[in-house]
Amino acid sequence: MRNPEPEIVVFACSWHPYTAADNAGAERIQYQPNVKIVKVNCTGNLTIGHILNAFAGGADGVLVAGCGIGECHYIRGNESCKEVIEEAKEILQVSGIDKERLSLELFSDVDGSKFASLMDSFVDKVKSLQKVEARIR
Amino acid sequence: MRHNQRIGVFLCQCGSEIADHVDLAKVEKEMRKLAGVTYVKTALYHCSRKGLQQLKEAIREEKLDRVVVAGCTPRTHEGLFQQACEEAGLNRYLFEMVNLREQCARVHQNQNEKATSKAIALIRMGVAKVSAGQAHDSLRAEMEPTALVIGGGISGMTAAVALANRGVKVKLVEKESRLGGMLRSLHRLYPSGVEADSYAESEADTVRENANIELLLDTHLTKLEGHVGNYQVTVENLKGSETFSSGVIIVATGGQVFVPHKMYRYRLQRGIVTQLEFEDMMKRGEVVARNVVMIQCVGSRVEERPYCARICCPTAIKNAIALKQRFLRTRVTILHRGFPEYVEGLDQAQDLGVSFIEYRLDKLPQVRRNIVKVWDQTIEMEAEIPFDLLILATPLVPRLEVEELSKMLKIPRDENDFLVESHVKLRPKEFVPNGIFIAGCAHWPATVGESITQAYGAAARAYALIEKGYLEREPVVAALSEAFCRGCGSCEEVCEYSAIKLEQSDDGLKVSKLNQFLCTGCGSCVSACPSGALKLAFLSDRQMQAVLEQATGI
Repeated sequence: MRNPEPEIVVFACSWHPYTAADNAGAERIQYQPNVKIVKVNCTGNLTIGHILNAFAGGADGVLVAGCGIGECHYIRGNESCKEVIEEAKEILQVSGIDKERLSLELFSDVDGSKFASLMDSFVDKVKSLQKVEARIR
Repeated sequence: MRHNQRIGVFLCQCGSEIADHVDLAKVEKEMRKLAGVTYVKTALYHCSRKGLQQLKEAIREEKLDRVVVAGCTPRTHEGLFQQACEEAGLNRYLFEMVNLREQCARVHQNQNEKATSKAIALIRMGVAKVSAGQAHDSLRAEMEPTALVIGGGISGMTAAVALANRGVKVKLVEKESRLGGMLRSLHRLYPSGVEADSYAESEADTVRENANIELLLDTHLTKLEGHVGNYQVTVENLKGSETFSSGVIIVATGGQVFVPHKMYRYRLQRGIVTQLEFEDMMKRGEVVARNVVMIQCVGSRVEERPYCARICCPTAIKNAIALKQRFLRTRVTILHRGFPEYVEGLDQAQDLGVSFIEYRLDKLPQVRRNIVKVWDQTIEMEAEIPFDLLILATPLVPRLEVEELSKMLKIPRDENDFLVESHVKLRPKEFVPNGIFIAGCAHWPATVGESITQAYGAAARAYALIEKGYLEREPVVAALSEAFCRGCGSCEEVCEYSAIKLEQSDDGLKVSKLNQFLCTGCGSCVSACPSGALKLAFLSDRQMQAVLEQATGI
């Protein structure tokens, strides 16, 4: 039986996004529990393989969270991640997976409420897609 | 492989923070079912002294080879737990912390069932990650007991001698033909009255007499590679170029005086000079003037150069006093925009009859053939002051070579293009690249006394590194399997830290070489590599895959 609640994998770099997520926790701002955060040092480390692996493993949605352009702790990791995401979206599209299921969000601050509302809106978006198409494994 | 492991899972209630919103009893039950997990313990606060003690005992008694602590965010206590593991004999890279508080219990309150299944998934992810992981030891590099000092002015000479006296072999590189830097252009120092030139000469003697200092005059830096402990330095002089290694580097390249082109009729007539040129005139005994006017803040504290260059006012006072002491009947007027707090001698100058007029930035003095017109702030009247010698106080600015030097040494510059420290208040003596230190006017306009102090500071810091004998750092780095490398060079292209370079061997084969000491562990090279030759030592693809399998709960 398929899980009626979507499973979302969030790749968060350990700088702004992960801290924003912790701040949401510090302020106890509630959001839907469908997301599982995977911490990476820098989103520049992510490959198309990582993203497709997440989908192949059963994720209904993948959100990649990095730091703002020009703010990457490792100078340009988020910029190369941006290119990886664009390519990944093409591959998803060709594979029959709606590219709306993959999202890139860049954080210029560590605002907890922004993180929480982002989680909710992404989960809701994926939920709205859930009913429309079948999964390709 | 997992079945042979002995993984310990430690669940933290965190008081009631986690326990109130996650059913830890259920979590514990699920954990015991996991392959490889041989020990599960729930506690109120694992981070307490008792909790840490119990953790260490469990590692030893249960012979755990991997540990997962599920509790607060790793950003608080990860270090604490890692240290506890190492004290119990477990490598810190076989420890994983799972965030059940900030990223689960606190944000999914009043949904116990969902929060609990998420908690279970998160811990399974942590167990998978640490299960697929390996132990890693700290990286160690030898520290070369040698130092390079760039610049032979007062700062460079002081630092070189300080290090040499400690037994360090120093190479002092100076691009001019003699030591001394700006001291050679000055007349007398204030308030000691010491002749700058003879002072420079006696310091130079100290350098020349020191057996540990190799002096390279007429020599400049052309290339720098490597990292602290082992820099590869290339210098060039008339004889050719030479490469040597150096453990630490001290930058003492100084500053230069701003030339006030097209300002206040500078160079349009005789008798209008900069402070530095006036020092030279005093040295030669060429000063014959009845009416001397000094204008302060020429080209400083303005839009293009908003900073106060700090030494021009003390210099003006020094020179005003010197003038009056030598030529009592010469009139000396100083046009200024306020004096810094630390300026000494204002009273003495006034007593000697020096006049002071404060002017405004929006009403600059105007220079005519032989008079200066200035709006006197205090009496709100325009004054006309005759002069036969006009001395313009201009700021010290970064040398032209600074841009190249900053790129070569990877030292950032501030908004005024001076070489800048890590943090002006918290880390004033540290600079971004680890083994490089700066002293003197290369850093900021400094007096001779300040330059000497900075040089001692830089030498002390540099010596601390050398004395330890080796460098250690955490292996939060990439790892390269050269066998898989196809020599495409993509890694070198993306690395911002020059940690990975494509090298060609004698038989023409191109293979990348990784210097782990320069690596920051960002992983850009890993994603750029088409062959899978690179991975992050602390988060391999295998670990990532294992984590993702657990993340989606299928």
